[in-house]
Amino acid sequence: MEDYIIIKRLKQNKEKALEYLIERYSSYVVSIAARIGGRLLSIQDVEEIASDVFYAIWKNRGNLIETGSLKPYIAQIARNMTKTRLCHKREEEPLDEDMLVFSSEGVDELIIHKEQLQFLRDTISLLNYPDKDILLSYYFWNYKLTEIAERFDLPLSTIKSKLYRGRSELVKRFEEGGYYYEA
Amino acid sequence: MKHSIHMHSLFEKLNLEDIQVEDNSTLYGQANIERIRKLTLDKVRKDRKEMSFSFKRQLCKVALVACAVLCIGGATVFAAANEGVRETISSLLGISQEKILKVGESIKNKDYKLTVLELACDSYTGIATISVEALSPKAQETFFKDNIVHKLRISPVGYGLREEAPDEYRRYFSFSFKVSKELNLYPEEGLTFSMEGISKKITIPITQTVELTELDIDIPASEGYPMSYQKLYYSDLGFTLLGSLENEDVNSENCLITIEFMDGSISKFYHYYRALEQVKSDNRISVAKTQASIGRSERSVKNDTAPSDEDTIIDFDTEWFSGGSNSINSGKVISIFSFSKEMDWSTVKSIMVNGTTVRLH
Repeated sequence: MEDYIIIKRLKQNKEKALEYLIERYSSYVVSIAARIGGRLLSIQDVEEIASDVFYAIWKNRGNLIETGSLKPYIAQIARNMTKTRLCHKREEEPLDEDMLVFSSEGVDELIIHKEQLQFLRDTISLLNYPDKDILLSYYFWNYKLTEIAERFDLPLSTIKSKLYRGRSELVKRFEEGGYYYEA
Repeated sequence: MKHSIHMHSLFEKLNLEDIQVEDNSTLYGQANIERIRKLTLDKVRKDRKEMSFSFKRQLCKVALVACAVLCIGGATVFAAANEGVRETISSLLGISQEKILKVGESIKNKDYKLTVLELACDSYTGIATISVEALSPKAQETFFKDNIVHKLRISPVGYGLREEAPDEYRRYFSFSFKVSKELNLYPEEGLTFSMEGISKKITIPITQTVELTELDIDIPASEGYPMSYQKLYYSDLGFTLLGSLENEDVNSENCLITIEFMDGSISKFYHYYRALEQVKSDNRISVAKTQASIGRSERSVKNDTAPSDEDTIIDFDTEWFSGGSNSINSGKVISIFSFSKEMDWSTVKSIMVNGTTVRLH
């Protein structure tokens, strides 16, 4: 069944169409959630996110546009739902080393910000599992250190040392880009 | 120039695309699609049930009013499960537009305007959609708090009431109805629609818009179930059983209908059983419905036709069941049931009524 037919039937309140949708796109949604959340998500978490995604589509079925493919729309909802599930509000004290001070000759704020973000992207892309995942868990998703240790089944000291290594890689990349780290 | 960079602030600028990780957890292969399906459908069905509960009380009162006006002989109107409503019958049930009669007639007074929008009928059961618009500031002030359903005067009996999202000061309702020449439940003038405070009424001749299939069946009365059925009529909208009341000492509402689909799935479409003594002591209108089977009926030996250890069973499939009613006149019985969405009968393998299975294919 083509996606536009599924949309049409969803708009007619046909549950079977929703079941078709689940059948067709569950694996896709799971892969998106798993790639964003990695070890931070359990299998149950991922299944619940996928269910939230399909339920959101059902709730919004009246506004769906009868397009050829629902894939981009589903991907967007899957990313948002995963983000909602993963986002944490940090309650613990930040690490001492969380503030980095550099000096450089650049003066254009816009260019500097863009440059710094690219350095971060470069650094992350060079990291492998689990270092990359741990860095993101702490700085992007705001998980507590103890939670990360639990999720990755590693000692707290190992998590701290991996975060330190990640920061060092970032400093290194900044220095390669003409910044001078002021420890 | 010095730059103080807070790590969290820097990471916050990343997009989701930047932070994708390798799926080292192998979640991809482990996910249980059946669990995803169940979790999703549970939420969808919970929504529907919540919607139906809000209508339940209104529905019973409408049924009572309508029964008092219309019923000949004994009649019972059953409460229904209601699905989310859309603007037209086609969006509600999934049936094509050519099977729907466009009406558009209105009556009004200074406060309200009642419009009959659409109608579809298979000559036994049908569905109509109407709207009520608040015209005066006074009516508009309390429009969404008022129980508009109580103000409606509709004949024949309406059941399976649903309300869809309103426009500004305009509310939309749909409901099922039944007619039967066999039991004199067939107003010659047609269907009538009016409203409290409006002296005029809208009359719509009963017009068959949906094809109906007739089948001879042989469903005998059985222990706990007093009806025998000889005819089955079915359409996209619902189905009707015609028969006789064989045992007046048994609760006439008791009915057990199960639908088996070609893909092996089973719908407990309508399962109702209540011991007669309990019925007599209960003044409320009871909930019940049925669906039937056909053709080369074959008797299946079933012990569950008359529950022995439970006084009450009320269970129905909200995916399919929208509402139904059961009328008795001079020993004749008509049981009519409406679907909440279009039924593709080619997908139905068999139906079991009160312990008797009828295979359709």
